[in-house]
Amino acid sequence: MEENFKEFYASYKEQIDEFYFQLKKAKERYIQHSFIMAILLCCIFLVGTLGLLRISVTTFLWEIIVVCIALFVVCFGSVFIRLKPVLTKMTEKIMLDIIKYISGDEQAKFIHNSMISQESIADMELFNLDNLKYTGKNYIAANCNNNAMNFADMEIYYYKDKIDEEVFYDKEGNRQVKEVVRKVKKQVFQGCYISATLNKKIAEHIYLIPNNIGDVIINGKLNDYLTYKGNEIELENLEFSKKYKVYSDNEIQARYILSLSLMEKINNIDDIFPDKKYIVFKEGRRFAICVDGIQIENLRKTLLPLKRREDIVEENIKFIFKRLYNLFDIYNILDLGDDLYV
Amino acid sequence: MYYIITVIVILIILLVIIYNTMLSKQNKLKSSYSSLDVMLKRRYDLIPNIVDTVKAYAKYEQETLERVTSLRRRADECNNSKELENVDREYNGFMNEVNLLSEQYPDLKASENFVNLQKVLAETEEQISAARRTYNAHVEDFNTYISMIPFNIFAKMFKFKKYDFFEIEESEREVKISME
Repeated sequence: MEENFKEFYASYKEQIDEFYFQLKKAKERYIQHSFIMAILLCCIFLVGTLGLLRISVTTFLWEIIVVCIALFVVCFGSVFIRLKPVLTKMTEKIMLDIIKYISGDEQAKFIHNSMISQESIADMELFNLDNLKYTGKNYIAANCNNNAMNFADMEIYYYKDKIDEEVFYDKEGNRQVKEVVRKVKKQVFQGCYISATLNKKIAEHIYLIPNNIGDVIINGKLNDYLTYKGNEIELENLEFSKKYKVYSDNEIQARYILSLSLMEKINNIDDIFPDKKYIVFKEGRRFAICVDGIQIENLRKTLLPLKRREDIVEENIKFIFKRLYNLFDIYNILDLGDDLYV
Repeated sequence: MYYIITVIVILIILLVIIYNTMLSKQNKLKSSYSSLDVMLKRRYDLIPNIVDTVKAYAKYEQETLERVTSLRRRADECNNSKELENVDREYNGFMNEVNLLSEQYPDLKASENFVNLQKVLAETEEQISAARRTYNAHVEDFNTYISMIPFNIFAKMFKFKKYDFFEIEESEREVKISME
């Protein structure tokens, strides 16, 4: 990863120069706007107070000065607020360039406002969308060595009724208590959805449910949240069995897909994503991994500093690069390029 | 008297439960054996294709080809895992020879038929491996169950016997279809 980053960063310096040139221009423009705005506001204030209200300058001199300074501070402070979207756009561009570099796909997409389609989530047949709601953002699509990979932030949740007591007083002034039903949002999953093409054909759905699901599903049955089906299958890899429960209607098919080597590879995903993971092998050749706790949005919020400082710039870009590299590393860890049996 | 009847009823219920569990485990085992058998036979069905492809590109002893062709017939006649294992061993030996031969005849190695055949074989091998793992897991489960006290007593009573694992020797584990 280190070498890849160094190579990327070395080739990206010109682009960073360009970013800071654009940022400087935007900064100058916003400062000019803010200055004019502050002058205008001060003029309006002075005309209003001195001209219309006929307030004596000598009596309220300090107050007038303080108000004018405050107006200037507010106007100049707004420059930083207005520059934030510019910095965010820069980060989005950096993310897209990193995605293109890692995947080698010039047509790769990164769309902040898009999410994995409802159909894809339903097609996974993992989360029970009859009871749960789904939202998401930061959709990434890239062809990594002809393997169509998708990533996106995903949140699965439901609303639970919570009964609260509300105190009120009636017309006669007596204290009354009534029960109010409030909707409380409960999260089942928040993390990253990763899907790719497997190098084997799958005839059935195979579900890998994390063993420590209990802390998510506190009340109710597991089937209220997850729609996995089939019999539980005990596999040979003890480390793997400690982490996942495997469900499928076809045991031989499950063992065919979850070969000894693939189980080992799935164990290795823990090195980069130690949190809970749900894995579904769908009919056909697609599979999806939902990794709890990973958020592409956190990368989008990693902004470059307003004033260029090489060490901070490099550190921030390295942070984004490392996280995206880890996402795409699923391809290498699971040997998805190996299409022997397809 | 009342207590004795209660104990007898409980014992009968226990016996029925144990018998049904053993039977269910044995049925699962038999079902996984037949799946393994089907997959092995599917592999032997590919033998004529391999023979045809090899014959087209390489010189091969007629005797060996006949011996290999007979594997398919013998696979159909197998009744237990030991017999299947023997046929399987012979087949692996044959595939080793084919792989060696493909190294000697570049035309054979490059032929589209041979490459496609190798892909099908590689996939079939993986499926057989999965079926073998499934069968062995059921054998282990069944054998452990009927070895435990007090189930071993009932297993003897109902004449349930341990099953053999479907094993491959260490040298055969290394038999792989070369895809390079």
